Amino acid sequence: MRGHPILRLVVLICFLTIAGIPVYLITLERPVGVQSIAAPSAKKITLYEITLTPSTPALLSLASVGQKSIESLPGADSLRATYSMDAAKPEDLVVKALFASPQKNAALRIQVQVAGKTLTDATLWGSETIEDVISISVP
Amino acid sequence: MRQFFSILIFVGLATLVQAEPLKVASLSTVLADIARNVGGDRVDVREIIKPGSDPHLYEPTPGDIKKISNVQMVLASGLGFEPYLDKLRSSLEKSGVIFVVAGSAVKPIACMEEDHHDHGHASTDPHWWHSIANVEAVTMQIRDAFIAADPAGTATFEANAKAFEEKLEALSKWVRIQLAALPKSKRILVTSHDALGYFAKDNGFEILPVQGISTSDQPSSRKVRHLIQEIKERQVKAIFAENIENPKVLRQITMETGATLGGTLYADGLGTGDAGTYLGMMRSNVTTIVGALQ
Repeated sequence: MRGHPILRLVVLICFLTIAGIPVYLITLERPVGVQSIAAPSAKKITLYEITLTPSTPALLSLASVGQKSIESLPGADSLRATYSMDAAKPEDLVVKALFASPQKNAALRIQVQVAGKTLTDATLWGSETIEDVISISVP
Repeated sequence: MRQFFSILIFVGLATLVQAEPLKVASLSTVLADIARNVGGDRVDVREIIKPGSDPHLYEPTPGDIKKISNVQMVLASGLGFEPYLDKLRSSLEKSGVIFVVAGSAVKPIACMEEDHHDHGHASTDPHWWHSIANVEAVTMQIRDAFIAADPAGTATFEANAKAFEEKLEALSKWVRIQLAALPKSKRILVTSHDALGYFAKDNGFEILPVQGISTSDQPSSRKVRHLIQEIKERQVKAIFAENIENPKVLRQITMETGATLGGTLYADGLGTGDAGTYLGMMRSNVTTIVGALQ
């Protein structure tokens, strides 16, 4: 290519610009259909009143992640606790009852209330020991 | 005396006939373990897919076909996990081989991945064994199939299935208690591929897979970039590799996000050692997840 050096430079810039357009369009950032990033919602702390009632007196315990574990004296008739947790995602409860002697149909009732309204009312069955996890329903 | 020997020979023959186990081939390491638990000595289980191998990439060899054609029953996962299954089934069912497909006994869930490519998985997640409830259902399915094929073993199969079901129930409770130690906000699983959907559904986890539903799905650089952004924003503490994959991409993600490699999960079947049984595999996965995310 012959001609004035400035003209040659202008032609070269034009060529590079035109060639760069498809590259720019291909690499342009676009939103993709991967999982949407949900903005973390503000926590709404709620008081959960939890009551454990065994069929016969037992050593009762209650635990939940981020909460203080609570244990009754042996031979307790019930165990009550109040946990403050996020209303949108209340943590699961680990409940345990250790009965003094093996029984055929020992039971442990777990009630969870918020402001007097029952969210969870479950009964677990077992013999000498009952241990399981209870999920709290979201109101 | 002659009569005594005749009875002895008859009893001996009867014992031999009874001792001949039901020959079963399994296209899944998990199904092989369930079959061994239910069948006991009455069943001879041959594993076509070995622990630690990638079932997504498996294609039956002529040697495997020969092995499978010599059995009375074939156990398969179904739900698209074995893309070759229809072809294999149509050729072997003619010769009297019974096919038990676990997918028909479970509650399938849809794939979570939106942009995966179709690798014969359609839109159903085929990794049903990560839900213990599904394994219980398949245990009953296998028990019934064994009873139909070997009615003389009914009592054995029923007792074995009941014993295994009790172990599964104990495992289920153990899993719940272990996971209760993990705050719900931390129940995010970043894994190599989207194989733990059933586990996530049962236990309140969210899955962020690097690959799609199959190990053959490759992530685009754009997807990896967005995943890195999400891991940073949601402060995910650890991400997990799988026993049958090269965790190179995961290492790159850990370098950019600050998350650690949480350990190895058994996603596509059983492993070896302690993870060589279904119960062991689940315990290993749960221990790894809780240990890394806590």
